[in-house]
Order: sequence, then C-alpha cells, then structure tokens
Amino acid sequence: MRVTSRQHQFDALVRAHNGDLYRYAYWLCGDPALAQDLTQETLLRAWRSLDALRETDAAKAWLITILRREHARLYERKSFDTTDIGELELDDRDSLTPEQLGEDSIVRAAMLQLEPKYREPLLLQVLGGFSCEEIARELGLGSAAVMTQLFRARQKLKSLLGAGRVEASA
Amino acid sequence: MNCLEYRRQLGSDPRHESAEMLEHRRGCAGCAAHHARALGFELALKRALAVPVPDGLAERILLSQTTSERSLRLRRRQRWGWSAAAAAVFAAVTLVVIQFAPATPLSRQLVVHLQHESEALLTHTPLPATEIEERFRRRGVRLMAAPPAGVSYAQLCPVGPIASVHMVMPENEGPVTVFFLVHHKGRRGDHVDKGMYVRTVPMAEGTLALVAADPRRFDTLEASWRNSLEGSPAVAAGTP
Repeated sequence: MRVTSRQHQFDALVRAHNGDLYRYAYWLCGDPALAQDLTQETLLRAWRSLDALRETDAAKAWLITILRREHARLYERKSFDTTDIGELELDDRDSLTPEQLGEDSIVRAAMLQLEPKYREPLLLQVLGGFSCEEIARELGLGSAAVMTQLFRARQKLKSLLGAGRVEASA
Repeated sequence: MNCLEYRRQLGSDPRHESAEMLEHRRGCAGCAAHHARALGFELALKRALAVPVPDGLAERILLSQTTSERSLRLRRRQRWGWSAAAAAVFAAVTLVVIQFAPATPLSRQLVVHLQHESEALLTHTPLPATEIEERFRRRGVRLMAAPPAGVSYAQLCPVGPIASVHMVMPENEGPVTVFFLVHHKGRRGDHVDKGMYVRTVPMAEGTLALVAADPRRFDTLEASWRNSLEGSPAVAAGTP
C-alpha cells in the first residue's frame, strides 16, 4: 500500500504529540481510560482536518485546542463522578525514590482538587510549555488575567499540599 | 522592583525571569531563597504532572486511524459500486423502455385515442376544405390536393408521442376515423384491435391511419388521401 505524504505527516504528529495530549487530557478529566479516548479522538479529528495545519510550530497549540473542544463536548454529553483521591494510582517509575513517588501522588491529588479555571492555565504552562500570551489566546482571556490565575493556582496548590513539605522534598 | 512585585511575577511564571527581576534577586537574599524554592516546586510539579503515557498509545491511534480510513475507502468504493450498479440498471431499464415502448402497437394507441374522443364520431356536418387544410398547415403539412370530401371532424391531437391530425369521415358503412401521423415512419399493415379495424399506410411525410368498425371503405379512402397528400400520379411525376 502506498503511504501518502499526508499519512506520513499524521504519523509524525501522533508520535510527537500523543504523550503531551494524553497527559493534558488526563489532567483535564482525571481518568486514564477517558484520557486515552480523548487523545485518540483529538488526533482523529486532527487527521480529518490535517490540511488546516500549515505550520509545524503551531501543531501543539492546534492539537490542544482540538483536545479542549473534545473535552468540552464530552462534558456536554455526560457528567462524570468526581475523582476519588484515594483511587489515584502511583506510577511505577523505577528512577524515583519512594519519597518522590509519594510526593508525586500527593501533588497529583492536589492538582485534581484544583478548580478547572486554575488547573487549566497551569497545565498549559507546565505541561504545554506555553507562554502567558499563548495561554491567554487559547483560553480567550487577557494576559493579565492569565498571570493572576497562574499565581493563584500555585498559591492554592501550595496551600493544598502544605507548601513547605513539597518544597523541602524537591 | 520590590519583593512583592518580584514574587507575584515569579509566581505567575517561574521559568521566565526578566532582567529587572534578575537584578532584584541578585540584591535580595529573601527573594533569592524564594526563587530557589519556587524552582524546586516547579520541578516537583512538572514531575508529578508527567503521568506515564500508556504503552502503545500512538500505535493504537494510528491503527484506529488507518483502519477507519480503510473502511471509509471501502465504503466509498462500495457506494460507488452501488451507484454504478444502479446506473447500469437504470440505463438497462431506460433502454428497454425506449426500445420496447413502440412495441405498444400503434393500432392499440389509435383505438384507445379514438375511444377517448368518441364524441368525434357523432359529428356529421362536413367541414370546409379550407378548415381541414388549415389543420394540416398547423402541423407543417401542405396538402397537394383538396382533402377528400365529407370530413366532419378535424383536430390536432397527439397519439402517444406522435403529433397527428385526427379526423372523422361519416361513411355509409359507418364512421371512419382518419389519422395523419406527422413524420411517423411506420409500415403498411392491417390489424384488428378491440374489435376495430386499423390500417396504417406510409404516406407523404408521415403515416395515414384508418380506424373503423367496418373496413370496406379503407381502399377508397386510402387512395383519396394519397391523392390529397401526395398529389395525383401525374402531379407526383411532375407532368403538367
């Protein structure tokens, strides 16, 4: 079967961004299975409108926009139970110390407790690597508002964690 | 820049420090310590957010995409196949209709038409020749001689798809209906349909059809109409 350049482009897009999209989706919905579905649906939608992607540099933001829309659509269709902190999995990462693994699980639990309006800009910044201006564009807010939300997001997260403990272990 | 401004900006985006912020941090031990703690927090946060990606996620997505793409292509091909089959059936049916529609005997069409206009048979008053000539003219036919006498009805009618001049001649043996089918190229023939006698004769630029319950006057009328439509043999031969 002849592989088209469009297919090549899509392969590259999937391999380059599936991880970031999955993580972003996971932190949006807090559910690994749902995050996989969201990632897949996002990339399949991207395939259908791949011709709209003109610049490689814009790919990540473009995909995140699709993902956010998909997530919003999902919430329009059905409502989900809130995530039980006790159900959050600890990741099996050999390189980390037991203390770090424990700390990660606490940060994750706190992250899921954060209100979406604070969690989302924080995810875009920390996971996506977007600047405040880019986040503002993505969320349809002003830069100053985004900066305030990011500052408050960290403050709230620290207070949820008991900031001193996290900072000390880092 | 004071400490409050520095910490607010750092709290918004710890990865980026402007020149002004850097200058403040270098001169402020408290903010330098705060900066170090903030970076530590960012590292912990980034590590925690980097949840492991399920094994084979990219491959599963690509498999799903190529599979759905393939089935879409297959569906399109099938749809095209169905469309082609439907078009072929339609073409075949159309061909059959076109080819066999004339197989509905002309005699049947003439008899049916006559039945639909049966009131025409009740007319007895002969029409002036000019009126009959006018009907033919309107069909684009010029009579070579005066029409036979005794036509009591003359109308422009379609017989199926064929344009005609529909006439009635009340003869002693009973009324004879005469059709001149303009530009119709039929064969000569005598038929009986639904108890009516039908004669078709190629004549001039069409076909003359005679329909009656009694065919005894057919020969005479055929000759008369040939004279009207084609002229006498002398005229037809160009003899003065």
